[in-house]
Amino acid sequence: MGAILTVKDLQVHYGGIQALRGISLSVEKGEIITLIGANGAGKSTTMNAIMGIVPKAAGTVEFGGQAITRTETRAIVRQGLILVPEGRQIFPGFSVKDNLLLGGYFSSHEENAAELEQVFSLFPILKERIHQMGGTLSGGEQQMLAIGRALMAKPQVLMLDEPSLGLAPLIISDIFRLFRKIRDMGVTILLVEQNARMALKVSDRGYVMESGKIVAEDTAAGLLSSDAVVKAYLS
Amino acid sequence: MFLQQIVNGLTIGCIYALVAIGYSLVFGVLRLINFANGAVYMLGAYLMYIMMSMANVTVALALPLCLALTGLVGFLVDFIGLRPLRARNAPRMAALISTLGIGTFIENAIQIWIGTDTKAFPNFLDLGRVQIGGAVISYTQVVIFLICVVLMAVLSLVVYKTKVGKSMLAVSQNTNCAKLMGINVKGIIAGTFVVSAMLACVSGALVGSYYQNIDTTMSFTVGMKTFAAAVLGGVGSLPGAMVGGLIVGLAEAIGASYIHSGYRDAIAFGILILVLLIKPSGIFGKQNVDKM
Repeated sequence: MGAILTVKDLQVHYGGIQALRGISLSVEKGEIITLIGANGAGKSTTMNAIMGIVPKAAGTVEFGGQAITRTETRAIVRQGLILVPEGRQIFPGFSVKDNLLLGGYFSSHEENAAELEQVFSLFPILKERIHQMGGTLSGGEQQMLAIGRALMAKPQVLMLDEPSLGLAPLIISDIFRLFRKIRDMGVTILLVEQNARMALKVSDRGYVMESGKIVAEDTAAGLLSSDAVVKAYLS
Repeated sequence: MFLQQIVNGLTIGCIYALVAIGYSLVFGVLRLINFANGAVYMLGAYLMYIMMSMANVTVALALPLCLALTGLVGFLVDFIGLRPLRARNAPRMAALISTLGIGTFIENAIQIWIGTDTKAFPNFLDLGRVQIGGAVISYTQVVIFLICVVLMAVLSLVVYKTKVGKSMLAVSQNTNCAKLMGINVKGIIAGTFVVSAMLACVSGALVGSYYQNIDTTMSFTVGMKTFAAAVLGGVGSLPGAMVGGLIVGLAEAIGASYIHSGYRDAIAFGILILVLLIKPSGIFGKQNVDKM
């Protein structure tokens, strides 16, 4: 099994500040990977840089064997690398259905109809709210909508930026359980989480980030039992 | 008399609405007032004048040519004046000043090439008139009204019912997230400028034909009046721009005949000031509009 997503020596500058100081990571097909680290460590920046939302100062990104370092965001999306951004960012003025259909932007009518059914089977609540405006949903429902919308694009790799942010504990465990289900559907997952313990429990491997660098890398079980990691991020 | 003013007001009001829609569309996708819009409106009228009166081209050929040219100018306003600023994350005020600069450039270019004196504009819609009640309605007015209504209907359908329109609405709700959906944000923004410029061109041509003369002050006065109309309706809102345009047109026609015709232009600005004081978000606007 080869790596489906490979990042090498990725660097990002914001003005004069170096936000990423050379990140390297690789994700194998079918894995669930978690990126943990404190606020401001550069986790979100890593994801945004991979997607081409934030310009890269140096480094390369490969997806499915192809270089996407300088590829436009929409072409990356089309190739099946999808990001669920931090804070969910659903379209508040669109109905649940329209939000989902925008996720399937490159798909045909028929593909979207089939994909909608799949999303509704994962999130029955979305079917109940199908004509409701996105902005009127609760936080948990919005997160489900954001994930459902990403699944509409039939991702090969799904990246999720802080999916548990601001959600009630009960809903968080629901959502994390779901990641395994999504992986079993053949989707590789890269997670960014503050809620490190929860995330590592559903992950295969993890990376630890600190001020723009990767400082540790291990299996999820290894990280969960490492004293240094437990002390810094899991206590 | 009153009925006559209603007819006149609706005619000019729906022309204003077309220009106001241009402000609202661009504001929707970029949160920016495109102050070059008024100059593009004037450019549309002058291009029609150049082709029809100076080059003797028929209206059937002149109008599509003008639409193409103003559409290109609209594209260039964004491509030259705004896209480089966005690439550098320049403050929004810089973009605003840029549109003002481009507007001034277009106005002055026309003044230099064509001159500042009033030009007689051919009425390509002159089809006679009809009397209904106390009001004289010219067919020019009827045709103008119909063209505007059809354009607004088509535009609403495109914006609310098609994939392109939904993409545009998505960009206006959350540009970054629209990008993550795979939407061609650059293309949507460019297209918005092209459509806005073409609407301004149609308005310029209709106004020329209606008044049968054009002069170089039309850019500023109508540019500002239609901006007032867009703000009144709630800038960024499509139905708002339509209603705002009609209200400004009606208020102007009625005010000019019952108060004094010298106040014709003052009325629109009076409305602008009142709206900004009382309800800056406008009739259909959202509550949290950034003020610029």
